[in-house]
Amino acid sequence: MPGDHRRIRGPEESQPPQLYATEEEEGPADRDPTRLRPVFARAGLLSQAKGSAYLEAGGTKVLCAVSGPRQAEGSDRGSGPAGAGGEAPAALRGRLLCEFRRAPFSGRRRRAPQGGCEERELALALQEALEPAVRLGRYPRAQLEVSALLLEDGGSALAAALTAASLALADAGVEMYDLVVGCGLSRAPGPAPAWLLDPTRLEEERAAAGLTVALMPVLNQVAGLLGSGEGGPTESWAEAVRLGLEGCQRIYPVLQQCLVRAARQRAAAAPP
Amino acid sequence: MAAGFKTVEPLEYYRRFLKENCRPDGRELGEFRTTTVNIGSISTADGSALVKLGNTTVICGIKAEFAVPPTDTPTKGYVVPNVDLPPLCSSRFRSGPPGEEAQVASQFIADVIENSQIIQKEDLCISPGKLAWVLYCDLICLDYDGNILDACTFALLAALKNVQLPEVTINEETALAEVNLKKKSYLNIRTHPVATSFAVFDDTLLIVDPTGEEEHLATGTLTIVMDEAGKLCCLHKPGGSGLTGAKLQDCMSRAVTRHKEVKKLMDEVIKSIKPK
Repeated sequence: MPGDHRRIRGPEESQPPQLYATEEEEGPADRDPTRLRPVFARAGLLSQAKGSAYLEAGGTKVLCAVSGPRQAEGSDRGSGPAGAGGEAPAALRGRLLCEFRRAPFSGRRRRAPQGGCEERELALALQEALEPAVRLGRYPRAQLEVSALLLEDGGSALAAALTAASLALADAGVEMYDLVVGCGLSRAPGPAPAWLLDPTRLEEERAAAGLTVALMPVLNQVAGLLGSGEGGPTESWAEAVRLGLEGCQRIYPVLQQCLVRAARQRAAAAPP
Repeated sequence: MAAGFKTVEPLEYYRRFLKENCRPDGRELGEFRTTTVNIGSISTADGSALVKLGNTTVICGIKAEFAVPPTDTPTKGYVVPNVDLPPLCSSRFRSGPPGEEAQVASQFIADVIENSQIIQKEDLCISPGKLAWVLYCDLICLDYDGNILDACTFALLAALKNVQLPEVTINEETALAEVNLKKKSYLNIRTHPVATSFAVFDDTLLIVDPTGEEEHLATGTLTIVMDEAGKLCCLHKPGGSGLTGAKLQDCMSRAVTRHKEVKKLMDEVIKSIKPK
């Protein structure tokens, strides 16, 4: 990194060996478009964070930690009309600060630890999806910090980060209306291929369009949606969203079990 | 009652335990926390390791790329360590460029690699002056509960032992590299440096493997890096209270025993990995 004197200097430029590979990599295998990879979720594993969660789905590994509520900077704003239920007025509501970070070794190519605009966009998507679920009115003038770290990208990284973040918020004891469950989809290029649920990294790389849906399962409301690419007619996108919502509902029982288990462990470990 | 005393007078609380030669979590003064290591879990990295020392968790991922060797040493490759202390490991760190502690840790790891000659940089050279490997060693702390340097050194060593580099040949006609991703070989690890950290209390008492609270209350810290021949690779003592020569000798003998414990653990783990 030119002029980055805070890190150990390496070579100016470097290329990954995959560029010079003699054999072509195999394409993704055919599979059932609605299959979901088995999900492993654990909450309450970090000792220093208020709440934490680790989620593994296929090759994607995400760790998320929540800290706060802490005094927000610039929090001495005026008051406005009070919200329903005695909550703080809009100007005094709490804030959710999200950070999304990819480990340098998480993808095919090494990424600089700095991160770029893609990570900021994903952090914003995280924040927008989590805000409807958190009762920010109960934390006036405070901020909750959510940081997601992607250890390995095996496809649908944003969806996994969303799920892990909401588990971590629940583990931290933050008041929420519902959990937020994320699900990723992708569509291969071609005239009329099907939308694939929970794509792997290979499928995502070769996709013509990608979509991430965030659902609040009990309230059955969509919390967030981020999609891009050439997807074809509108019905195709509507079909994809429906598929994604079904996928989210299927993951929900695993997350419930994970939180119950974490609560039991916490109760067992607490001093009598 | 004890919790209240601990909040108001943490140092006195600790002294009461140290007088009985033990610590609040039940350990002896010379005892390490439970160490666990998991090798090769990140498949996108060329080599990876996760080390847990009690609550302190560090993950190391190594990515190997091609680069032109430096002009003043055309037969050497690069090893670039980077220690990252993100806000998720502890609330005292903020997001953004690496803070002081991360920079100190990165420089410490770079010194350990250089001084212990863990790998010969000449081994990383493919074609002198034209092509060499660069190993980017990224260490991320996931949970900060003291003794970060020991965990980082161990994670780095375990990850380096796990790295598999593909075979590279230079095509004479096109002068380009050809990489065979199917044939991989392990790195040649020459020495196994292991770090042991101590905290100094009240200028006299030395305790091994301090937790986050103990580091905060300590008046000085010391880290010793030993390799298997009982040779000292690196000694890191950033200020703090002074130590007599005799105390330093005790620390070094403790470091030698720790090296044996760690080496045994790592050999067991590596043997248990099924070959790919």
